[in-house]
Amino acid sequence: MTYGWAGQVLKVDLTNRRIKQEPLEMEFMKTYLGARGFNSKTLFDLVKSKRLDPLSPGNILIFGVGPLTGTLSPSNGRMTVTAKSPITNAFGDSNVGGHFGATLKYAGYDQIVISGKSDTPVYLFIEDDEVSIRKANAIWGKNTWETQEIIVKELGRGIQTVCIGQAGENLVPYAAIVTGLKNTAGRCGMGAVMGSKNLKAIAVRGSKGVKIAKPELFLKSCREVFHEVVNAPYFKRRSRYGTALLMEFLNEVGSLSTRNYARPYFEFAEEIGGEALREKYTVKMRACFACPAHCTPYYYVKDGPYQGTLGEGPEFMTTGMLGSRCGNGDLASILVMNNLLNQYGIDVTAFGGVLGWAMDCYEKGILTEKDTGNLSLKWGDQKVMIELIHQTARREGFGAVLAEGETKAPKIIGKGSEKLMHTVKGASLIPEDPRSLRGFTLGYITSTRGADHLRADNILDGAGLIDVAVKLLELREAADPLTPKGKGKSVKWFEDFCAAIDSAGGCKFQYLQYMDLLTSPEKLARQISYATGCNLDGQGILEIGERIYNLEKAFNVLMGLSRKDDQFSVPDKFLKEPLKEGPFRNTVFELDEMLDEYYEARGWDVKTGLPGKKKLIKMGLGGIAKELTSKRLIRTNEGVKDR
Amino acid sequence: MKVNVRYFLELKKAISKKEESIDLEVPTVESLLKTLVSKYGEEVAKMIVDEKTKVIGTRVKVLVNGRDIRFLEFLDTRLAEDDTVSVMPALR
Repeated sequence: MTYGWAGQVLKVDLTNRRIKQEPLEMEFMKTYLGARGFNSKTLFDLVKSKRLDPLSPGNILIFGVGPLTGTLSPSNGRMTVTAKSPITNAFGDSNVGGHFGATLKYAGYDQIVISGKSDTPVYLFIEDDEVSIRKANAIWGKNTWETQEIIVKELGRGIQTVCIGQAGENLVPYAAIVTGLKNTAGRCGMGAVMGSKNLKAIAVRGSKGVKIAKPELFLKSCREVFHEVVNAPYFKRRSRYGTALLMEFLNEVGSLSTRNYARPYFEFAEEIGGEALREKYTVKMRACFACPAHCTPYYYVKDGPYQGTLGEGPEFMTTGMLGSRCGNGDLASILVMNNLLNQYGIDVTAFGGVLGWAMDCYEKGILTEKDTGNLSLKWGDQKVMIELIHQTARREGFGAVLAEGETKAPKIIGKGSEKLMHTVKGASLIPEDPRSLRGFTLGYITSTRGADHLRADNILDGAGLIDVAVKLLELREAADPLTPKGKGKSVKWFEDFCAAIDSAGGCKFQYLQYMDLLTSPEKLARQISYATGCNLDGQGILEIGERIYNLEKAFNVLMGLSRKDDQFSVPDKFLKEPLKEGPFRNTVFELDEMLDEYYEARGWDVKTGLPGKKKLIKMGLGGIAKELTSKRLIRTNEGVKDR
Repeated sequence: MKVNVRYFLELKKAISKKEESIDLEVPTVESLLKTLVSKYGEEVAKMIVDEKTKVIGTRVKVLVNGRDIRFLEFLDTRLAEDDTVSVMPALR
């Protein structure tokens, strides 16, 4: 009997139309925990070539849920989607909320592994043990909202769907996978990989539930977590404003990326911030599966040029990337664009990155109307921004250039435009200026999936948590955004914990922001132990997270990445060009010092940024160590310090 | 000496303005917070003073020109003419 986990993987070979259910081994489940951990191991085992085109049939697409997904454990309904990324050409995954993950678990699966490519557009229908590959004629060409509606009409109630929009069909490299109105596996181009397989959607209905090893203790621990969460001050703010409130905060501390990093302040931050969203447009707040926090605004635009717009979101990422990054101070227009991106299935971080780059190029005269099809890419021109979303999804007009993504678009334009595109490992930076919150920024330099704040979500210096920094790391400086000290150590801790949270099926907001950071690993461990019957403690949880992080790093080693890739695409911008205003003025990002500390904390080689054989063996990754050593990709004689 | 004070969230609502200029005799953060308590009464006092410990400033996040006072001299942080002080309810 398997508890917590469903204990089963669904394997779908689209080329040969083969469907197979296989049991998962207990050792695999205990070692890699679930969701992100399961998927990372599967990706490492099945994709070996760094020359493999991520959009070719040889890539695989994996959906994974955790041992807590689908249970009563608060905020644990999340899912991870993994593949070799068409953006980074290396490790890629994306984490998504909503209700699909729990329903997949109820159908009896921890993972779906999709390989090959269908010769015609199809969708997958899973109803417990019955799985079929169906023609997608009626939904191909439709947007994500239409697709889900058509599928529910066809299959009836109780269906949850993940799908791609036209951007995924057209292989826009930063296409997203969407479920519901706004829950999106956005980063790393998972929607493009899905489109490359001619797979439009996966619809699931499940009736099996989740078996719990120690039900009474599990329920008690769920209640404890629930009460801690709902009594946290930050929970109340998040449930009222969503993540959009970060706009006001980052602007106040001089950290908001404005007009492609021209300034750290946006003069219209208040107009597009969390309070404005709440007061002007929010009708109610909605939640993901089993979450006591309702952090998603459901909005309606009552009047003005965008009257009648309704949808869900936007996250701070959206208001930041389509607002301050592009110089747009009109919130209603951002709501319209938020809907369009969700409908077409486009990642807002990547799209905002390429759009901000294009607007910067236009301002500097690198792009003119001749290049853009007579569009004036002036900062904040909402009509042009909206038009370019349509064009990008369809690969039409100048949108066809934006649709090439962060790496290829600047190469097409040339003329020095490469100096204006800011990425790490090919993925667009978020709307926070790297020259400000050093610990937060270091996390998206070291991220295994390219620039991304949620890989570490190092909130120590973002929120200035001095007490936590002292108790957790004995390093007061780790909470100070102005010093490089302690950032490597703190990022390592957060990366490990986040890997474990993602693998359990949990929400980082809950474990990092609502709960007490000093005890939340222990509480997560307790919940997993009661659900699965395994015996885990907080330290064990962090060790599993560390193993998963090393595993993802090992995949990137296989893909040829090293210390040189833990770097901004335009290093001089953030390492040599100081901010001119705000509390971080006259400072730059001290990357090398922080990276040295980080690799040291990780027990990796400081010179190359790579894990060695002994380190991987110590992490329980002996097979991977052997493989990388035999390919001469890592060292065999490194000293590994016990920490 | 005048400083520019900006309010956020519940504080902004309680004070009914988002920013104002305040004249201080003693140019410190502590003096500013005490001024706000006496100027705006009980509702604002509850947000600024810890009810149990009576310590001022632990329930709010205070930035001086964008820098958290906990990395400066906390309540003893000196203020200069035209400094911008941001006061918001503590985020955690």
